Amino acid sequence: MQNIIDVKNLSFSYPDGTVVFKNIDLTVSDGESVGIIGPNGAGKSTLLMLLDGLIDTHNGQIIISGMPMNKKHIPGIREKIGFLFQDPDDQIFMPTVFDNVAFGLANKNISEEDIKEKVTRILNYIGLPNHEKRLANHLSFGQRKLVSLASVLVMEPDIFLLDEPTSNLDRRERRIIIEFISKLEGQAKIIISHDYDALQQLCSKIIIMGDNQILYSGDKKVLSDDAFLNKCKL
Amino acid sequence: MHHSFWDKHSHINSIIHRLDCRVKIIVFTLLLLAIVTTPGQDLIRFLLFGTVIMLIIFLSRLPLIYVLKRSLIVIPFVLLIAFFIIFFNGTEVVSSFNIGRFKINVYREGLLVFQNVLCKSWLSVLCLLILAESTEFNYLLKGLEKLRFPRIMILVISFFYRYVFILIDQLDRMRHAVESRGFKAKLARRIKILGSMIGWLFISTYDRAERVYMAMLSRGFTGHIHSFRKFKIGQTDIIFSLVLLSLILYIRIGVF
Repeated sequence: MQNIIDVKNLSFSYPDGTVVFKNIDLTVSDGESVGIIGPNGAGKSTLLMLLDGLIDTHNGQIIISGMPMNKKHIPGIREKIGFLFQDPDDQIFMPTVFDNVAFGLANKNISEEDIKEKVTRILNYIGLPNHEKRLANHLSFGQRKLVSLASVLVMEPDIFLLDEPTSNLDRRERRIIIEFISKLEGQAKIIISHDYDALQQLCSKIIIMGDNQILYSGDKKVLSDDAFLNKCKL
Repeated sequence: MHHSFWDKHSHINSIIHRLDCRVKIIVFTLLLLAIVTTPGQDLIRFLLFGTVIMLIIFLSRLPLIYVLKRSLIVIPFVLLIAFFIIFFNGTEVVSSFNIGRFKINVYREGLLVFQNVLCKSWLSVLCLLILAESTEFNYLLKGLEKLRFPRIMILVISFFYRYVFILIDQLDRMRHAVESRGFKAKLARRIKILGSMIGWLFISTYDRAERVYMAMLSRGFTGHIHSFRKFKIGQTDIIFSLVLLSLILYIRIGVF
């Protein structure tokens, strides 16, 4: 299968010189689902931000859907990617549920009728029908997470970057989110999570990050290898 | 986040809400200009402007008590700026009283300045409140953009609107964290801790604001404001603006 994400010799350091990771390689094929685990501070979220062109100071090569990461291609790359942030409050910045879900579509200059139709459809799909006019800041944490997911799903991207999609959710909400993600069969997914059960269900490949590098890249069987996980400080 | 957005009444269906945003911005700006250029001693004109504003509130179907309550936000600032002028500015003493050994005079000129500042600021805030509460925020920004308002200013307002809630939210969390640990201290230590809190507040909200901006970028934000409301100046807009502008002109330059 064709690689939709191709990362070569990628390094990133903070402005103070602290190295986050060095010379990492990563490939994700079309439709593949990859889970990333690693201790806090290993650079997992930073990696996702680099893949979406949200951080532009790096060394190495990033190619998304055949487009190299540079100023010229960033708008095109972002159209291909749907990024779910760890904290839904980072992603919810408009007053109503409708405004939040429609934000990305409006930036694509889609007609008003199409936007309304798509937003209504996606809200019905995620189980929040008739929530268009509700103030987003009056929703529960789980509902805000669902609205964040809806705002990404509605863009119909080819690649999903999901940062801790199941964190801080109750059992039911977690199950619902996992169900929605598992239905995204045609698209490539990179999922950062400490929820190994969710990764077992959703991913075919696991990457372990730590000590400024990729410690493991391979089969998801590793998630049940406690000795190896301990060795990776997990 | 449990605070309300400023335009929470923007979905009411009223004649004022239905007006084209550009018409509203222009008419309210002219009303504001008329108010601030009215001579300070002209109480009758201020009363008439107040009546016009009440009429607009009535037409807009905004909750009167809510609007009046919110407009009182200006009072502390007016008191801070203009209250002491009553006692220091002028030559004609209207009244005097003693505080301990000190004799305090109340001057006529000072009272006029106070009345001037109070009326103008309160009426101006009422105008702005009606405009903000009766117009969806994005539509308002788009209206400003259509009126060729500088884009950088529109972006600043837009980000301020988004980030001010993050600031309040963060402040609430810090206050809860402090209160939950039974914080009690003398004034000097309180000030020191408050200083640290403000510093930390700015660092943490800066980080948060960065993430919100990234979330906007990741969904294709390029700095353009999008609104689903249509811009169309119709008969109602023309009639409303003509009636209101005539009233404003009559009150401002008419002889009473």
